Amino acid sequence: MTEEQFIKNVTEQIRCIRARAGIERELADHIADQTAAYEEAGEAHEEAVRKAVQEMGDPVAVGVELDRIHRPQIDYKMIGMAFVFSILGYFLLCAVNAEGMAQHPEYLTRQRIILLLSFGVMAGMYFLDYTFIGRYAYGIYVFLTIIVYCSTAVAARKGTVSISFMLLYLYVPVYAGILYRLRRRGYAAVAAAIAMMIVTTLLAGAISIHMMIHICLMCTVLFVIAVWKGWFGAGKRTLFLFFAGVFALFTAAVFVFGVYRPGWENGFKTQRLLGWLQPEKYAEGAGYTYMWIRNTLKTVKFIGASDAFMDGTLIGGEMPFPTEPFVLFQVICEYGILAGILVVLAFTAVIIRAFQIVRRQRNQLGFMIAAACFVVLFANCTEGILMNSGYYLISSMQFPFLSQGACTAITYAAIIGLLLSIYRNERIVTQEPSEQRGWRLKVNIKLEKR
Amino acid sequence: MAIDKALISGSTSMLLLRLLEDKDMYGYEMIETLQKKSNNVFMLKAGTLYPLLHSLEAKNYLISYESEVNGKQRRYYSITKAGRKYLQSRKEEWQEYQAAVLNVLWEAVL
Repeated sequence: MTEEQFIKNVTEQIRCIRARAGIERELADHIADQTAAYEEAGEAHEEAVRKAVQEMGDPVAVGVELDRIHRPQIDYKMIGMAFVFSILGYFLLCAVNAEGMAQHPEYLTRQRIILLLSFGVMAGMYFLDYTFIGRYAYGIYVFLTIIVYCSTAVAARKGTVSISFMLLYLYVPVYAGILYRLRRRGYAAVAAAIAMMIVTTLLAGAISIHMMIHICLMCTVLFVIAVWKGWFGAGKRTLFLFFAGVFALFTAAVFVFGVYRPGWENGFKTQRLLGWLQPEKYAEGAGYTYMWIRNTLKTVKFIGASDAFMDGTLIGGEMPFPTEPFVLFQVICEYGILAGILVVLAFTAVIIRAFQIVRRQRNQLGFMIAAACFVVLFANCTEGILMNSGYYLISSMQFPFLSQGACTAITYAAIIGLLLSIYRNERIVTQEPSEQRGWRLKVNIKLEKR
Repeated sequence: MAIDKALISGSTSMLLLRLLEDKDMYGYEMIETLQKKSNNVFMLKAGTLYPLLHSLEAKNYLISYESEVNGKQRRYYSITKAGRKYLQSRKEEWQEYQAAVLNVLWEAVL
């Protein structure tokens, strides 16, 4: 049997095609080493190869054994949670907005379409090989930027607010891909990674200050992980000091240009901050909503609807804020604390599962993208829960599984789909995806000596 | 001396993890080192080695990475924290088993 025949017989037993390349190379290397050893011992080349191949053992048995190991895995826990929570989320949204849904039956149809769309996106990402983010990180970055900004421009022309801002969260896994492409390239790569972080933060800032802070923090977390794992081959302490300086300057700049302005105390954003930090003092103004939520939550029951909330005695009719980010608050008021705890437990279960997927990853790209997905889920769920308690700055954040917006549903579906894809390919993508593939601009500089 | 295969098969993963405790190695290097260290008693076939290494990696006892040495790209294996823990438990198990066997054998002789 020749070397090629042996390797072919082994790989034919392995059903997952993408797992074959790494195994082929490893076996070929082994045969080459063994052949060299026999040649060193005085064997002719042909004989050395024949003996080396014979020593490898039965190719079919080896292939069958490797096939058993290298199979796509299905994360039943995450799939089950995504499916059940999406359906429950749909019913919960219908229940808390029953009045609105009854008046506008088209909302119900829209919600069903969004549900199906999110299942479609999740399935699409699940079957896609997530390593494409590592290969085409820059291309995807540009594509995402075009999508987000075109939709924002269209919305601005119509005089409405863009609803696609949630798509900005997809920058986070793409940034993970960029960090992956920059690894092992020293200090220049560190500068490039920080530059990309600042550009991404500013791009997000052009749409929303809230998103800007979120994206900046999330990218920071990924960057710190990359440095900590030695991706840039630079001293951790030096890098952290350097990074801390950049981060402090940038945060100061955000604060100065974003919040502090002439007449700042009357500015809308400053008022919002003051209303959050001192709601009692600004109870008639920016602090009103915080006080309203806190007072309403004092009236809730463990099981069943809060009388005050249902009567509208605390609110005089309407809720003083958009209802969508406050689904959890509504659930607690209408169904009791127990229902709220169940919703929080559902989010916690998804976050814990996402964290478990991150921890399992041996592949560097898989690890970093999974970490990006985890960070997005963790930050939004935590912020949402705190915000619904009336103790955190009110923003337009959206919960996973509980959104009425198509872009939010697509974003979270893509994030969960990516986690499923990473888990699925865990035992397949054993070697790092080639750094040579993807789009790269080549510049040749010729230096001539005169 | 030819050793009964059944005696070796269950402990191969333990031996491989022990080798990797000292330094990261690639497949061929592991077979050679094991052979040398055991005075040619453990002559592992590549067909046995790679499925075993891949299954240990799937269990997170090992991680693999590509590295270029002398102009040749090799796939190295490195023991993880979980791998070290597992090795320790297998060693203890093995010591207990060995002591029990020796006890019985010596008792039978005496």
